[in-house]
Amino acid sequence: MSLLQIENLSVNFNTDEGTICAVDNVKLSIDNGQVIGVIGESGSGKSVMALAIAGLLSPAAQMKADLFTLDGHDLNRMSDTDRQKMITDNISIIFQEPTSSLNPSLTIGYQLDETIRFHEGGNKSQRKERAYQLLDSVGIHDAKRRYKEYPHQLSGGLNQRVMIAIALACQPKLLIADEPTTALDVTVQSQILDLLLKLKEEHNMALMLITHDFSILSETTQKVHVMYAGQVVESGRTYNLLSQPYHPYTKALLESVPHFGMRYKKGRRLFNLPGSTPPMRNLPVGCYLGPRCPYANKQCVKAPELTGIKGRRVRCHFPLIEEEQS
Amino acid sequence: MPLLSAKLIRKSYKVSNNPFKQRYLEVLKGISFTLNPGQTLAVVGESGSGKSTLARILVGAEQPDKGQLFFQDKDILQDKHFPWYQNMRMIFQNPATSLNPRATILQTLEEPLINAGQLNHHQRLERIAEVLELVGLRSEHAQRYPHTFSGGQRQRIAIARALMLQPKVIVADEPVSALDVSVQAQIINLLIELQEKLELAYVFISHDLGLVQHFSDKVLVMHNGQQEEYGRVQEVFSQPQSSYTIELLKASAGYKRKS
Repeated sequence: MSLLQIENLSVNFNTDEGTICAVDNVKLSIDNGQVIGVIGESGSGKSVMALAIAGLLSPAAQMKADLFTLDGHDLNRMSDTDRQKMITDNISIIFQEPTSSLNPSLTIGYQLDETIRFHEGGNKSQRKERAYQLLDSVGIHDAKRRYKEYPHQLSGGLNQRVMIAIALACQPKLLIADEPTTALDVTVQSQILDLLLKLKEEHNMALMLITHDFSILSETTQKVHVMYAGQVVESGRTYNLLSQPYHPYTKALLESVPHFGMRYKKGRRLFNLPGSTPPMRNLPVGCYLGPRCPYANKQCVKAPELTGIKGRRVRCHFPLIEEEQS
Repeated sequence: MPLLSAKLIRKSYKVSNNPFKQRYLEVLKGISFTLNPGQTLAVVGESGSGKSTLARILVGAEQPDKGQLFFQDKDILQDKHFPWYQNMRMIFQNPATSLNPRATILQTLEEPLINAGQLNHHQRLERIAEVLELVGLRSEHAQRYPHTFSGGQRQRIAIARALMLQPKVIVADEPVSALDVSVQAQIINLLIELQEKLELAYVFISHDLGLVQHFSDKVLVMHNGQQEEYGRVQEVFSQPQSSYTIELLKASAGYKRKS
């Protein structure tokens, strides 16, 4: 049974220039212990989607979903307080920039204690013991010293570990990691990813990795959703999707990044899409990728639907598979 | 004859102001390299390894404590009248912050030409139109302000500004890491194209090893100000000698090889 099931999730923002649809009818399901990836460029709606799932959207946003179940409970039928309780007990989220998501004027210990007090309670020494244990589990070995320190005394990698420790304090069933390694150095990046995967095994959590880097997803996730301008344009099993993308956008994303370990001729050009991501308040008619797409023709002024092809879902009139057969 | 060569560049900053207890932090501990015209040297390392300090020394914004820097076989650190600004230009990481938001593109691009003082007003406008075309923009874009452009276009403007005085060396400090993946490829392609057309030499600072391998001829690996490894890209990446380079390569390749 799936842990989280969402159908037709939409998030709208009302602005002076009309309604902006940041997330457009996204369908998503995560099983217990599964790792899924969401990939997209900035402005594709991936972070807003994460916030919507974690119930952290600003009041200005309007969110609606036809189906939103967590662990078998229908969140649409719950009262606001019940829903909030359900979400905070089961879903945790960590953000991109660890140094700015921690409060600079409070110690690591205080911020960790706050979460433990909310979720588990217990007396002061019990909570402290639990905090040491959490810090230790995320690979901070001198926990007693770090407990008293402030975020600015720690490096970016350590701060991200603290964020993970705080996220684990409620023993979540789903951990959402919103670009957890983008702000970190390459060597630290792989340590943090290893840690997330290790903790996922230990706690039997589901993990949702949001990123714009395919190399992070390729070996860690089982399923990938590719987002563009608020829509999911392709989703499927990671291996299949990466080895043979059906959607032109997925193909472009994969080929525009030079892969490490491959030999290139000097001066070889990278594949690229012309133009840049359209602004949300001024989206093109029909297929959102249309004006940038090398395969587009007349039919692309009609918006394509997500259709299932060979166990994958693709939002394109001309998925790349047909060309290869003919 | 190499275009630019550095010999054992050292730089340290004073970290305490107490005259009885002077402490220095060594940021660069002897960096050497040579760069030929039309070549790209990639500088790789973690944040805090001294990459940006090296870049600042190369464009003349900082003076090194020790070491020599030769430009076309002339020791330019000794030469007080060397026109740094005409030969070495820099491109920064984030075009949104490196362009003046209150100046039109024309004003931004005209400034280096005015300072160099070689062209009259009409010639300057011609040069601006020419360079804008070269980086893939149109000359009418010159009247607009930076906020009306997308991130990729802004980086093109920053590149145009660097090209204004026909420099020989361009120092690019992570020029694409603030851009979206699909735009990143456009900018890299533009840089390659310009290199072929104008015989530019690049010093390319980056932490994306895939990009480095694609784009550069030589690579300089730095760690805590130390020069860990220097050589041709294929050699360094296929047979790394220092333990730090091996660690770095593992960290970026690990996720494709594992399991």
